[in-house]
Amino acid sequence: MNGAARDSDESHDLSCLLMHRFNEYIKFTPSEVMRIRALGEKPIALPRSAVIREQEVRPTCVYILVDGWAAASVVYESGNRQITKVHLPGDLMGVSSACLDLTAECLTALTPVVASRVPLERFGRLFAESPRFAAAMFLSSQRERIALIDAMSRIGRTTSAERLAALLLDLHERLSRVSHACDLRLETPITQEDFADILGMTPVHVNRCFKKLQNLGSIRRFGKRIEILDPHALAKFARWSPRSVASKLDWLIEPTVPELSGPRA
Amino acid sequence: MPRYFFDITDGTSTFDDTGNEFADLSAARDAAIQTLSEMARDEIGRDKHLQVAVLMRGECGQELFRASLALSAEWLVELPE
Repeated sequence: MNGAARDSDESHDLSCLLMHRFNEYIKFTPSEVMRIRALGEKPIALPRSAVIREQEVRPTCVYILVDGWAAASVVYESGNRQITKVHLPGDLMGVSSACLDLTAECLTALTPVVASRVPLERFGRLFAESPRFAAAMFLSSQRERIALIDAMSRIGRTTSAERLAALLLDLHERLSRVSHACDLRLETPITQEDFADILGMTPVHVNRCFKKLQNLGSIRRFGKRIEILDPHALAKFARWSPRSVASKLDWLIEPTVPELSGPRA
Repeated sequence: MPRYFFDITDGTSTFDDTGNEFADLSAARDAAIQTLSEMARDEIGRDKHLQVAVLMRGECGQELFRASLALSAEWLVELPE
């Protein structure tokens, strides 16, 4: 991906998306918001299946997903891939590989996407300028780790249908936060093969698991639209419950920071 | 890509009216076999006997491939009451 010029409206949209992510933990001051707005380069549109960033290359930037769905996946020589994270609008992508010489995962567009590149130097400068941003990023990284812990324990100790049910509930919860999920309906613009690569099973088995959830009366499926008919029963079946973010974070983040100067948002 | 249909038997029979696309026959067959192992992993331990089977059909309904996987387990000692 290339791009340099920044447009104020686009960067405003980027900051809104990022703010949404970080506001879970922290309320930024106007000057911090301005700094975060300046993070991303001009967003670029890419078609479905486009490689946003290759695996095993030197990491030079992270990416903000502005629109569409993307996957972080580990690709094997056989051509098989395991999707380790489904990225939704507002997600920062490729951050974990910033600690490596070569990237651990490939970033691919699961749907047509709009993404903005953030050079690591610019990202790092914000850490130095804003300890509160650094704290929010630290918490965000820990939340990603929790998501991996949940995924790993499900792989080890739950059935395929339970994993699919948990994935649907997880996607619905995440989409609800960025207002892309309407009521209990879930638009999943990804293929059965994508579901298979996320869950580590064949598309045949994914198909069968969907039928099982439908037969249980937990979901209804119309093409790529999934309606969760009984969220409590589905959550009980999946042994899934939403993770609530810590409400008391004053050990890490000062509740208020005096704003001596700086532009107003 | 051609579409293949996979009818599953695991105590009950499930007729596949949706199907999945695969590049060729052999990719579809590999998925059928792998699906059996995934089903077995889900079901194993619930009963001492397990039999899962898959019948693969083509777009015109013709039967193309069949595979099954069975577990039979039995105690060789008398269990205490």
